[in-house]
Amino acid sequence: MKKLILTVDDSASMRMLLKASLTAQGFRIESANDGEHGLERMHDVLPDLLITDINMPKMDGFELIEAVRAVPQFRGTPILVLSTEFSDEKKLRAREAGATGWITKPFDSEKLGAAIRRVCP
Amino acid sequence: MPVSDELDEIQAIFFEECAEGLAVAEQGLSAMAAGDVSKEVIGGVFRAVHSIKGGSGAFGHAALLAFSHCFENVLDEVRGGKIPATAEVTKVMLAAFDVLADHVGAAQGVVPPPADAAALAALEEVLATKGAGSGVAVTAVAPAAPAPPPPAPPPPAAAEPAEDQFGFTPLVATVEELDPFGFEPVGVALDDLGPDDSQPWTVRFAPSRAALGNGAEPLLTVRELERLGGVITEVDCSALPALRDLDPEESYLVWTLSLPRNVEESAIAECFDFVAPDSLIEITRADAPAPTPASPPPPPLVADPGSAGTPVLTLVDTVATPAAKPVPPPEARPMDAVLQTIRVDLTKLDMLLNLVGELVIRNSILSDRLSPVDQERVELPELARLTREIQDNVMSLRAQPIRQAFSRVPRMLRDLTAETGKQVILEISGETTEVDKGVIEKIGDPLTHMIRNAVDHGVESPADRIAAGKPAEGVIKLSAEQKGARIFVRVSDDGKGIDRPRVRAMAIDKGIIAADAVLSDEEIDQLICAPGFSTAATISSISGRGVGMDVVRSNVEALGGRVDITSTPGVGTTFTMILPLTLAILDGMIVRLAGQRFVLPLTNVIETVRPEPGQVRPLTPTSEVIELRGSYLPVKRLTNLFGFADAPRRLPEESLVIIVESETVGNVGLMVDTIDDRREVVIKSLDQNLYPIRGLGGATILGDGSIALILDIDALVASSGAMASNIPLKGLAA
Amino acid sequence: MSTLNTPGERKIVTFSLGKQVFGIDMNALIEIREWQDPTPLPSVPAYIKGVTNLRGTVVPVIGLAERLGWTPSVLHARSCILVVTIAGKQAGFLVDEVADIIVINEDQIQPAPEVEVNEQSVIAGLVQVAPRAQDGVPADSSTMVLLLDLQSLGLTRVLELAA
Repeated sequence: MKKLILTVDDSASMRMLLKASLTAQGFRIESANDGEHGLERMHDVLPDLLITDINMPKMDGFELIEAVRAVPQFRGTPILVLSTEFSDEKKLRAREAGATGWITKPFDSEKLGAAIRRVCP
Repeated sequence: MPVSDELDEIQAIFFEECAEGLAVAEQGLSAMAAGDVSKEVIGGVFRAVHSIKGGSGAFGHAALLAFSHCFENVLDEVRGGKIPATAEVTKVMLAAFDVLADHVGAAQGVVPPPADAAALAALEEVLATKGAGSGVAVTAVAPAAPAPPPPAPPPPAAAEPAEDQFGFTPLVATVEELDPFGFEPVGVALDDLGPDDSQPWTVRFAPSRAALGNGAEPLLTVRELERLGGVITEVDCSALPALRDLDPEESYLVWTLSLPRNVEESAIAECFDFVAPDSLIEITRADAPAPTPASPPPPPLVADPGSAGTPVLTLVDTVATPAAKPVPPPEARPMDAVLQTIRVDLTKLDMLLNLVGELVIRNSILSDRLSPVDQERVELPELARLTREIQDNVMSLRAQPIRQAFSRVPRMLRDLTAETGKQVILEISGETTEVDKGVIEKIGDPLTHMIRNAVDHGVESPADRIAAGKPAEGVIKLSAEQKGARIFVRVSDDGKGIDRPRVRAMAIDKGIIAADAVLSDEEIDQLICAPGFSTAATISSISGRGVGMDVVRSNVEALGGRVDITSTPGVGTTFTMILPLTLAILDGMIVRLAGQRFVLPLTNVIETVRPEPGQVRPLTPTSEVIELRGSYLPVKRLTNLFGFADAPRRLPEESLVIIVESETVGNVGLMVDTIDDRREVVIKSLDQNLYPIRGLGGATILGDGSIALILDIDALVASSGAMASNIPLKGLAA
Repeated sequence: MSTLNTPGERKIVTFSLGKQVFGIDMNALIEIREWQDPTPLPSVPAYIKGVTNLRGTVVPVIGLAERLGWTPSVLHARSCILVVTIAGKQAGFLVDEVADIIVINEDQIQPAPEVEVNEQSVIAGLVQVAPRAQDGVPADSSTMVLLLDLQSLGLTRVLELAA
């Protein structure tokens, strides 16, 4: 059974890139286009992994991660942040919110794959 | 990675997003220039530029990436309050915005790459001086560094091997000499003859409680180490309590693994990329001369690929605790609500809209067929309410604020005024008017051309204007408004108006009209849009593409609309594009006139009066008034207005007078024969297969399949009397 | 009928109007309808009879005779409306009677004679057609079919000046 990844990013082109890259690596992908939407979809699709951007309107990545972690069912779900930012401050914040890991954009397909394998059983 | 075709498609979407982002950024910056420096506005601009930067990296547009990165840095500091959004700073950002837009265009191959050194220097200065700069750009500052390198940890220096048995001290490997396959470099020549001295790695790993808390699975880290060739040599279970005391969220185990010597330290470090800060991680090599001790409490470091490669990576809880701190509630972001999009195939949306229209019609038919008793039942109004809700929601899908079509105008105007030396102020109103998306896409070019016209031919040079007693700065007003079933988009200038004698002469020259043709002022104005009218002589150097007003008109007509021109010499000119709403559902009153049914938009109707004898009186031989609560309102007979002159003239007492509100003439009474009922109707455009007819706002198909014409009140009452219904036809009469 | 022609072939729908026989390209024909009184429109030239409902679309109905400048057609039992498409727009033309669908070859078409210098001719060409034998009785002479240039009958062109 292929693993299911939920990707959340407000840029359609980025969602498409991710989907293309990850599908080629054998994952199933669902996506959402902002934090709020992403939270809804978490409940709908119950993914094995959540990959989210940080800068999004309505509900940013940090808020999404906190909201997801607040749901008992999702406390153990691995969450990766995929963002162009890379400051220690932001990474720490993500960690506190409950993120499992951080990947910087632009991403290398292989590295992304490796990172996913690292967090997703 | 995706195939190149796919990549092209995705990139095309990225460029669409860039366009949207640029629009948001421009509005935001304009708002800031006008004094609105609220967090939402700045945040919106930041996010727009941030997105552009993000995608540009992914698609390999280096210049765009570099520039947007620098721009984003400035914006980040502004939104964080570290740089104040002063007028000076905003000016720098506006200039940077123009360059950014050009970079986007260059990335698409549409324009040559812009010279961004000046803008970059200005941005750098703002960053350096935190906005307190002198305003003088520092010369020749190197452009911002390109995006940070991908997060591969720099290969660490190899641990220093011991002196070999021959007494040579092998060279310390430098980064550049590392073998690309990750093997330890060989030292001086004779080393490889001797036994390899370097020892395998020893890795100790004790995940913390937090490691489990963040959805990580420490076992995966162990597996990854095993994939690198690691072998578990020991598992320390001493901390494990009895089963009943076991806390499932606590971590009790410590793993020790041995990894082959040829594994690069960075690869090992990478395995711990996401491991929680307070886990214990030790990576050592048995033979290292300076043993790198890892003992709790180890010095605080964040285990990031970005940090400098040190032989020991020991991760500790840094400042904060793993417990999540409550984040301040999200700030309201009103601007974003406008641009959130889902991509939907427009043909699917059209089909959906058509079906909704049919649903409304069927609803009407159904209610017609029911007996009056049944019509009162609750199910029918419920059905009607549901249908209306669906209709509202579906219509809102396609409708978007016309602001998008207006967004490129300010920039264009800046360019035009710079090039022509004319001074123009732009006033925009009605940009929230919602219009069908298809319309927005297609009026861009006509708008562009009309603005160019206004600057080229309308607005005079500052000197001429002053000589004419006008302020040096011309005003161009761009507006949009919805009236009934139409959208009116106006471009109006306060320039010198249309030079009618010249237009007429040119038209005669080009054979468009006969030399002795008699034309009204409006007809002469419309000649500008005649095919073949525009030539090089009338197009300035800016118009470039050589698009004439005839193309504008045909574009507008293709949308089912028309172009109106009004002009007063010396005062100004207004071009109005009148466009239909593609699908509109109207709340209307069905009235009867000479046996034919018409629809009166309910929004115009104030009240209905059955006149008493004498209440309607003639005023002049050709007009009537109705006396209503002490005042007199003009009365128009629709039969006259439509030229149904041969219809039998009814007495006012046998007719109904509907008091309607018109924009142009105030309240007017319309005399009709009877009123059928009130109904929601689907507006079918006359323009689709015919052309716009003054006085009509379209037509609708009634429940029995017959057509009822929809009345355009303003046009009807404003017309100065009867409209001829039989225009003699020129030319084709035998 | 298949709409694929062999090269040079054209399928023409012929109809009578007054004493003349006209033809239009099959490709342009959408449907043939019985006459139904259309809804009259204000402020339009006399040859536009009104609009009618064509499966949910509002389509203008044009008296072809008047459009050509002749006396209006007299309605009778076999009057019908030819619904055609001209430059993306649909319109219905009132004709006296639909005759037949014929197949002709491009090289059978003779050019239309010069009528008036200024007007763009509505006649695209002429073709001699031998009518079918009816009821076993061979027809005597061949008929001249006037091929209509539908583009020239398009509505927006004329009314630019009349608006």
